[in-house]
Amino acid sequence: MPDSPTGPGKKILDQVRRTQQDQLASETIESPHQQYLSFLLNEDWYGLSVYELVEVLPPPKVTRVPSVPDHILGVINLRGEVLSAIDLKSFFGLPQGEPTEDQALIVVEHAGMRTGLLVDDIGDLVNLAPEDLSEEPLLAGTSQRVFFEGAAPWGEGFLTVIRLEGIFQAEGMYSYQG
Amino acid sequence: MTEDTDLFSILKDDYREALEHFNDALLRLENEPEDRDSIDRASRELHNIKGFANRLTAPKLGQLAHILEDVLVAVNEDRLPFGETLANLLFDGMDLFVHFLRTRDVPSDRVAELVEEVEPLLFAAMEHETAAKDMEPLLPDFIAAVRDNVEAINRGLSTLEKEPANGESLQEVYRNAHSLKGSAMTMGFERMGKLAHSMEDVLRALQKNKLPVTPEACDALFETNDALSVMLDTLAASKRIKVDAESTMARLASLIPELKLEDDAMLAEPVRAVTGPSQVRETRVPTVDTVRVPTTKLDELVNLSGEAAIAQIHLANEINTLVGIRDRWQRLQLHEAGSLHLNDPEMVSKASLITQLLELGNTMDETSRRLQEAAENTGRHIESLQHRSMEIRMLPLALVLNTLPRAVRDLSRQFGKKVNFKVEGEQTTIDKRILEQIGDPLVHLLRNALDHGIETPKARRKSGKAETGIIKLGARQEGGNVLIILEDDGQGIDPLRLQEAAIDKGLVEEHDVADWTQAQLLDLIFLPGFSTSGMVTDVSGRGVGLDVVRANVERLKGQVEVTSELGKSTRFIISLPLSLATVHALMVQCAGEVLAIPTFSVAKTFQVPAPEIKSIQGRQAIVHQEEILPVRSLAATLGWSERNGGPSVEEKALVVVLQAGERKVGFLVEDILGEREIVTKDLGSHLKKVDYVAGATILGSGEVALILDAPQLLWRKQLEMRSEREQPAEETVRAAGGRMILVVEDQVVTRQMEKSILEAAGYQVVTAENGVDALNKLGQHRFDLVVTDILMPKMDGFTLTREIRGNERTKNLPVVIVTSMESETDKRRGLEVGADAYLVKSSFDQKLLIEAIETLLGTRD
Repeated sequence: MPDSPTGPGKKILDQVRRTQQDQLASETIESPHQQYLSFLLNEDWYGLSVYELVEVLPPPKVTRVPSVPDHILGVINLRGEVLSAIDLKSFFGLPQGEPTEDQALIVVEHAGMRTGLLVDDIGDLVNLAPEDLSEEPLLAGTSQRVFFEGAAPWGEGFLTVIRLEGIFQAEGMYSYQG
Repeated sequence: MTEDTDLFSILKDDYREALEHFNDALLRLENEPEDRDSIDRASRELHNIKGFANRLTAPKLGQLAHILEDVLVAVNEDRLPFGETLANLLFDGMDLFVHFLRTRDVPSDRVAELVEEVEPLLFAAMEHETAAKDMEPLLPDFIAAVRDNVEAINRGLSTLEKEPANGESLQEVYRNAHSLKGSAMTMGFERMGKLAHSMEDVLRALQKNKLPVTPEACDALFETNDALSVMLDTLAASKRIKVDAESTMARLASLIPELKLEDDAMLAEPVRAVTGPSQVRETRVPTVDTVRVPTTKLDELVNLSGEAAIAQIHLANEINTLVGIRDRWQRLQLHEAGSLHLNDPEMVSKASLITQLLELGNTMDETSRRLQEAAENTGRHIESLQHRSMEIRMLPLALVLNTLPRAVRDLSRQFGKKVNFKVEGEQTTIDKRILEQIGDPLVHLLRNALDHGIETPKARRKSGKAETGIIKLGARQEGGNVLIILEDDGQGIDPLRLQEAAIDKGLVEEHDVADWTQAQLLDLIFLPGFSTSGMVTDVSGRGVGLDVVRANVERLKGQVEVTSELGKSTRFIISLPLSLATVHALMVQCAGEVLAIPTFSVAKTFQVPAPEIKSIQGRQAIVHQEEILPVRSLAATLGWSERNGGPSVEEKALVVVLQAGERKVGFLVEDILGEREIVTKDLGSHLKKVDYVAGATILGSGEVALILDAPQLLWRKQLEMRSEREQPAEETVRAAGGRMILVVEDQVVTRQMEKSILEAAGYQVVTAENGVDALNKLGQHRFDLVVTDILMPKMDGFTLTREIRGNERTKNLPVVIVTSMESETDKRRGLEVGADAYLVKSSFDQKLLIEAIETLLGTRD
């Protein structure tokens, strides 16, 4: 049974908690920065607001579920709670590479809905100011635009921040119903 | 504070239980004021309540319990009559205890008021002891001496409590108690002396190690000493002793019977004589050793025992394989032994090797038999383990039902109704989750019964009923359900009034309900916003209607209905599942996944050789027990690819027959893992409900297994089949032009098989069991073709064919012979008598049959 997160997941969560405490401590000061957990899909880095992060797990055993689209991998057991697991690459329509050892499942929550997102690797926590985010040029105008907040220059490339609300509202998340 | 909170949550349930028992005893006492058992019970529970209050640092409440306990002791000794005033005071006390349970708050003012009210009663009831006349001058000396004793006892007990092994302190306490007893007896204070004597007995038991120095024992001794001290105080003030130490005596006495268990020799000691017969005879409530466990742990236990059952089944399967190997070995052995006596030098040289192999074979034989026995044993144990762990979640309904008499008592006063409330079947057990949520609906129904059902005593007199109404609440298990029936002998419900009211309130349209049955009309009472009472009372009619009851019950996957006899009675019947959290399921393996199928959807399971699964017009089917059963792969149905592409020809196919209503379909699975109880869960906040899946459960391994939605699997699959297959089928029907074929065959299975093959191809089929039967049917209908077997009772196929050819009306009717007689002679004979085609069953191919028929019908067209 998967227990409390260990390894990289534990480290990340500890970091998140520390920074959240710091932020609470300086609550009166309007912080211009938001914090994101960076993660890898193929060669590109993405970001997820830490406010929507529940925990990070090593990829657990997934039980397949019939009659759902391919990007819904199935369900997992998170300490007694049954949770769906989404292959984020497949959801975004990105090419599937060989699964790596660094794969991780990010458990996210938005508006009371929880799911696990399978990603290729977990990176650092990133501080970004809202004005750093600009519309991802490559995605502008496409139907996938709703899945992203925008992108910011980061390291040698970009960090594309995902928009969980858009993902949770996507038709592909529910096409199994009805 | 945290510590307190923890202690509170730890003791809360026990405290509540004590309150319930107290409440119970009071209610019984109210009905039968002379009932000694109830008095005993009530004072015992008060004693417990006092203990809880003190441990939870609510001393005021403890004091209240103490004084109420003394009141009951006085009642028990007939020093105080038990009347309504007293009952109300006790119930008031009960309310304060309950208030503490709910809020953790002690309403000190109210407690003090109540104590003030009770005290005079008690005082009046007290017996007084005075010193013997000639001893009075010694009173001051006596008081001083005894006060020294009391203080010394206090000191000694304090040390003893900290150091239970301190024999010196014990001796000190004992000596003082002994001297106190002597002084009291000398002065003529008999009761005081008795109390000290009881104390002495306990102390002696402690000294002789017959009784361990426990906190309980110390508490009792402290309490005794306190009582002695209070006696002294009153003696000093009034030269009289108020004797109210009965509860303390009882407590001391309760320590002594424990002694009996430990050492029979103690019986010889004059212990019982001094403690008063009533106290010694008092039997303690049998205490059940309980452990509080989070329900999630119980669920885990249930899961794990299920997992163990699966592992056991696997083990049994492997053992069966082993037994198979043993059997093969034995056959081989016989074979080898048989070939040994051949005069072959090579064989002779192998003789010793073969002997060794034979020995090994015997060992294997023995071992596999023992393994089989062991596996059977394990299986039985695991099965009872499963049942036992399921039972843990089940609790008696008494936990809820026993709280209701009090509600009825208060409500009946409020409504000015007289009612006799009876509870039956409170030992019926039900899942804890249901138990926790059924209380509110029941109270609501009770209010309803008291408010609207039972009439006022005056009205009851007028209609010739007893003034006191009867409300019966009964519970019993029926199959997988628990029925709770609430019945009152009140005015009943008038369906026509309900109808009127519902129309008035605009809840239904008049023309809709015009022809409703009485039962349908009565059901209107569960409509939201419905209330028949014109009066708004304290508890009813606050916009909360019986619709809430129905909603609550339905949330528990139960049902509630009402029946009524106007002017006589009303009955509410609540039916609840035994357990919410679990379902009995068949565990199967499919495409590498473990799946659970609720057993109520499983008609049966069986094994068939893979080749017996035939393809009939592109659909797979099998003949099982003379029925044609559609069969499909579960994996394919769920859209999963089969491991190894399904059963191979040599393998046996495992079929699970699912049933919904009249519809049955066999599903092929990879493995059947056995039945067990599983804990159901939903698929999480995202997926909620997925096609073909009813929910999920967590296996002992921590993995999730899906629970299949069998009805959906059956019905949805049928719809899909239609859309996929109907097209070609329709074409065939058109080509076949709805032709009639007579199938003559004595074997049921073959007959059904042929019938369904032909029907699948779009023909209409009539069957006959033999030649005579066939000729009859040929006389009644016009057929386009006959398919017949040869070997049949009464008239065989050759004769039948000849008859057909010999009859003017049927001489051109095509006849196809399908037979297991495959010799050339038979074939020739068949064609000689006039058959148009001759098919052999052993090489039977439905395609061949259809082709032959089409050719025959086509050529005749």
